Amino acid sequence: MNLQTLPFDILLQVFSELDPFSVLRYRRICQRVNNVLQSPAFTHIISRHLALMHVGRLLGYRNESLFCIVTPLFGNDVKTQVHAAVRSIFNSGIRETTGRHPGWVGPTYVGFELFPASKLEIVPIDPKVSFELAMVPLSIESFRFVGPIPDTIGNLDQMNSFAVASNMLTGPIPASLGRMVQLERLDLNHNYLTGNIPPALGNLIHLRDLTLTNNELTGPIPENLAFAKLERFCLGENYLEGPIPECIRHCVLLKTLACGSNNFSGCIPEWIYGLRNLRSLDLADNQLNGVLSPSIARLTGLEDLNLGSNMLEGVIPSEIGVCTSLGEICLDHNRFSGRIPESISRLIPNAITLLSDLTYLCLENNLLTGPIPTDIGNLTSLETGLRLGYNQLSGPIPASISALVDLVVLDLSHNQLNGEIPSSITLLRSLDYLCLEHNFLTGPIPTDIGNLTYLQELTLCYNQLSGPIPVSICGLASLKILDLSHNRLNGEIPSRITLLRKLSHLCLEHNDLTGRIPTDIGDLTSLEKLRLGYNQLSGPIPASISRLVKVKVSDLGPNRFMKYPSQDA
Amino acid sequence: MVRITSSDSQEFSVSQDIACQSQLIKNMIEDVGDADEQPIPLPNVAGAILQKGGSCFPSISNAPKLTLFAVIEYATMHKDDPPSAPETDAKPSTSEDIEDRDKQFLNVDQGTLFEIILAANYLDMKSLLDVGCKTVANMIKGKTVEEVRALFNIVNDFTPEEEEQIRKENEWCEDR
Repeated sequence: MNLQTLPFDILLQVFSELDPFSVLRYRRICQRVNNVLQSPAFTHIISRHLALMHVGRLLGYRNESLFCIVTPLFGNDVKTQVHAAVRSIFNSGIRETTGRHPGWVGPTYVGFELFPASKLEIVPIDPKVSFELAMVPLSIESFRFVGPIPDTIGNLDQMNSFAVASNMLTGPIPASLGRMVQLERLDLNHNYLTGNIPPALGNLIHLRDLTLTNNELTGPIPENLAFAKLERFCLGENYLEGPIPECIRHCVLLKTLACGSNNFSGCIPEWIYGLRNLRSLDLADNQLNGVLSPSIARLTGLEDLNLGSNMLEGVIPSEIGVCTSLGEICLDHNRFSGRIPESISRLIPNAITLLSDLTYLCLENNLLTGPIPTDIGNLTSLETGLRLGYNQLSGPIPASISALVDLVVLDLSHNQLNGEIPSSITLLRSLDYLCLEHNFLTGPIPTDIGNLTYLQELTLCYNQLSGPIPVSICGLASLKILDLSHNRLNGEIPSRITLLRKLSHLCLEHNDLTGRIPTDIGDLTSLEKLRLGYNQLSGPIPASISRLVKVKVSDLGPNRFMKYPSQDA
Repeated sequence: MVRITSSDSQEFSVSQDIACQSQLIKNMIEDVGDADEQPIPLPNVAGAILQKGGSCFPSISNAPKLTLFAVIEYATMHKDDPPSAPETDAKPSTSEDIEDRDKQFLNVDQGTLFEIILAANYLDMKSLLDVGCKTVANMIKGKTVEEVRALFNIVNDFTPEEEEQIRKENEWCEDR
């Protein structure tokens, strides 16, 4: 009796007891052992093992450790291969920030340190724990996974969660993930994954959360992804294309469908309105055409509706007023026409459920006509913003708007609004941005405009406003942009305007302003843009103006100045 | 009691709970019904050779343990063990976790060890098979290829070219 005469299965078991990451060196013992170690059965056994290879560090404020996910089957010269792969990831200029939505802050690092290939350590991980847990024994506070996801990952078929968001994983999503049939959560959000979504993912029937957002995935959504238990389906910020596939209609428990910022085309399918549990629908920033169906009324639980930046047309269905849970409506940058449905102003806080109130309404950049609904002031929960700019809205600004006391952004610019600015607008004490430019507004700027103490941006240009600049404006200490140009304002520039030390844009050109430029104009040291031309200003140009070192655009004429300051003033 | 006969017609009488640690015997008893009637033949397991320290077959006295007897000894030792946990809950096994008494039990020459493993395999005694394979794995662990060949008397049957080819393919794990 001899070792090599033992039956195949027993030899298989003996060698599977050894370290999977070094066992293949025993192939050299003899042909019999080599046959065992090269057999598909043995390959399957060791492919159930994963390890992490500590390849280097990101040098930044946290000095994160970089780990590659490796398997025994990487075979030849795994260290050199991994080393080269990681080097090429960084040399190819990995995106500093990703995501096309503004405000997203990407990984910040100043460089990376790659350990020499010969020094790389392989740390086996327990295939039954999550990756996060696997790091705990290593006592490493912050780390990222880098490089490809090994195709053998699918052998870890007992995992119920594979969540590796915000790492630096590259290459394709392995089709073998479809074998991890226990998965309830698959989160690959914010990596650098490329290629198509493998249809094999359709096997993951227990999935509740599938998040592939913010990668570089291409191609269509496979037509077999129908998950009976799925609640979150997030594919946003990729390069996916084709239609929104019909298989999604079978994800009947879906609460969140986020396909924004891709290249999806075709219509918004009618069956989408049958997803009764839907709370958040984000199809923004695609190439969808067609109309928004009145069936939207079936989605009574909808809280967020974002269809912005598509090519949708037709009217905004008045049935939208039935979706009383709506908290955000973004239909901007489309080709919607007709009137803003009056019913929108009935999306008022639901006194019974108080689940969700409309906080954001964005319809800008469409072809909407007619007046702003007079009852818009009913939407007292509006907070984040009311954006109706770049349409063809006409009529006056409804006085009821003054009821929106929590509103932070009010943008009605680039319309055909007429009449006076309601003086009650100064009750909107929370406003940071008040943008009414490019309309046909007449009458004075409300005297109490200075009550809007949080105001950072006040743009009233290109209207037909008359009367003086209210002195109270000088109390808007947070103001950065003040543009009152292209109106018919008269009187003097309030001298205390020089108290607005945060001001970067001061544009008063094309008015009928008289008097002098305030002597202390030089106190506005943050000023980058100063335009006072085409007025009736006179007197000397203050010498202090030379202190405005940041000014890039300056336009003081034509006026009636006595002289320009000399360079050495 | 269950009566078992080995390939060399030795008959053993053991209690049923011990015999049934062999899935094979357990299945046979269930198939046959009453186990008392006739002995269960185990034609693939060599029987009485020699008990450790005993001397009933002095002609083969250099084989220190008889296989079936040894297997029965192991089963007796483990008869009170709790049933093994289902595979899914078990911690990933490592070749470290061998009980001392098993280590002692398997502290035998290679030939006997392999016979025991074969018998455990045939009798379908998972725990004995596992501990046997782990013991062999421990003998290999940490050794170079050459040391393993020497330990188990294995002749290198590769041509130098073949061996060099494998060495090249496995460069990455050779130094571990």
